[in-house]
Amino acid sequence: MIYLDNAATSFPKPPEVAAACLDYLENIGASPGRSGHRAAAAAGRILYRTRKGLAELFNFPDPGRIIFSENATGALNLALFGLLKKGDRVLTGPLEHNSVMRPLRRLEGTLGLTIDILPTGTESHYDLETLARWTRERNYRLAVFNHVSNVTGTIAPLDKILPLLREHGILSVVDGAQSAGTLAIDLQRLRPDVFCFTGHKGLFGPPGTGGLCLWEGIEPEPLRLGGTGSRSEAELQPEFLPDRHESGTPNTMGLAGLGAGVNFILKIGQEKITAHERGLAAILHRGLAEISGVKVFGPRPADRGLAVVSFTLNDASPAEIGFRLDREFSILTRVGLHCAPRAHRSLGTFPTGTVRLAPGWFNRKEEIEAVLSAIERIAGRGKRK
Amino acid sequence: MNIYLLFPSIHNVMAAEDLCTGAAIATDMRPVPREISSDCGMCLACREEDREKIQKLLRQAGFSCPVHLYRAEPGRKFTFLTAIP
Ligand SMILES: Cc1ncc(COP(=O)(O)O)c(C=O)c1O
Repeated sequence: MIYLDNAATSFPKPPEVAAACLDYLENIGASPGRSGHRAAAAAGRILYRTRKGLAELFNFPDPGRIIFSENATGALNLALFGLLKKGDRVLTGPLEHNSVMRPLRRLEGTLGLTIDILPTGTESHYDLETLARWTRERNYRLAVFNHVSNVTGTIAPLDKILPLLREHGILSVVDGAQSAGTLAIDLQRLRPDVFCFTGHKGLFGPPGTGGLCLWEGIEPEPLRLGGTGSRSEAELQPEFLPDRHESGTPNTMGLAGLGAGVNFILKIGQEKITAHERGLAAILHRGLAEISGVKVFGPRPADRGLAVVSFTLNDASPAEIGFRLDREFSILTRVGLHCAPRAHRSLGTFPTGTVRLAPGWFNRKEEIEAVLSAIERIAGRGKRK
Repeated sequence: MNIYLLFPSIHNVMAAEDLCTGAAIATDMRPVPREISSDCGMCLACREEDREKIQKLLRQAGFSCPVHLYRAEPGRKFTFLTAIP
């Protein structure tokens, strides 16, 4: 089996991840921050170390301002529902995932938001001229942008976007679901107000993990209220972080695994992982360009692209190609709209979508070659351009 | 260990413990004494002679959350000492 669906969730995970989950279940078991016994303290240390590892990986100054959530969706919901107010005007990008678009559309109805979508442009799909004009002329309260597209691997030019937003006093939210663990991230340099990540993709954690990094002074309203283990005498939600946003017994098992995944990245080195994955994507780009009838979407890895490669083959249905890759060649991909109809509209691939190949750290060059020959076979034997 | 340091979040307790361990100062994580607060959380205990060192360490590390210090007296009495910052 060749697993090329790492943009959905990474597989396999480093063995340390399962070991850390198992260690929690078998040897610790307790709830962090609740009870005063040694096992509760050990569980608390797991959360602490995972936060610390993430802060190191993202170069984020205060681990205590990293809030855990169930995934990137949970983080984005907290950021958007927690920060937006009645009548706000919001700016978003051309490549957004439904975990951004659906909360925004809901709030459009309930809070009367005005939503502007940046048109596609030349700078890795981002029209920076329009961005400059709109941020100058329109009164935005918040802007939310995808960091790396889950459809094309496009890396957003955040180094140009974020300073512009800051200059105009616009709150910035970054959807880092695809960038965390696949790209070196320096939050002190980029300085988004909110950076949302998921644990189960590039960070190698188990499903059910994720979170957000809240820059100092950014205080969304909590979405969920309840027990935190702290200030139990009070019926009001605590105001301090991270407790304010972490009501309910946390996923300590998953967060133990996430911590192990983050340590794995810190051990290997983010740059090395990115280079390997980009190298595989470059082989895919080159190989696909040679197969007649294939159209590849998104930038090559050399031009601000990461290891997510989307393609179509003549008028063949992506679903059919994905099915054949699975059944005939044991190659696992993801086809269709990838929960990002907005991005596919921007690319002109709505509503049938694309076939997405997303290699990861554990894929080898030979596997990528095998994938290319399988696609070539499906395209029609020996049909190289 | 008769000095108790109380923090808002368990995260702060862990961070303080980590700092002290790094500086080779012995601490002990304990439940918050019932006499100080009805909170069900945890706090950090340390020796009287390490108190100054720990306070300095926390300040240097830029601990922005409030930390409350207590001394345990005989008969499970706790005297409030100071709050930092
Ligand atoms: C760009 C992007 N944003 C958000 C998400 C949502 O992540 P999760 O499913 O972990 O909540 C995903 C992946 O599914 C994604 O690719």
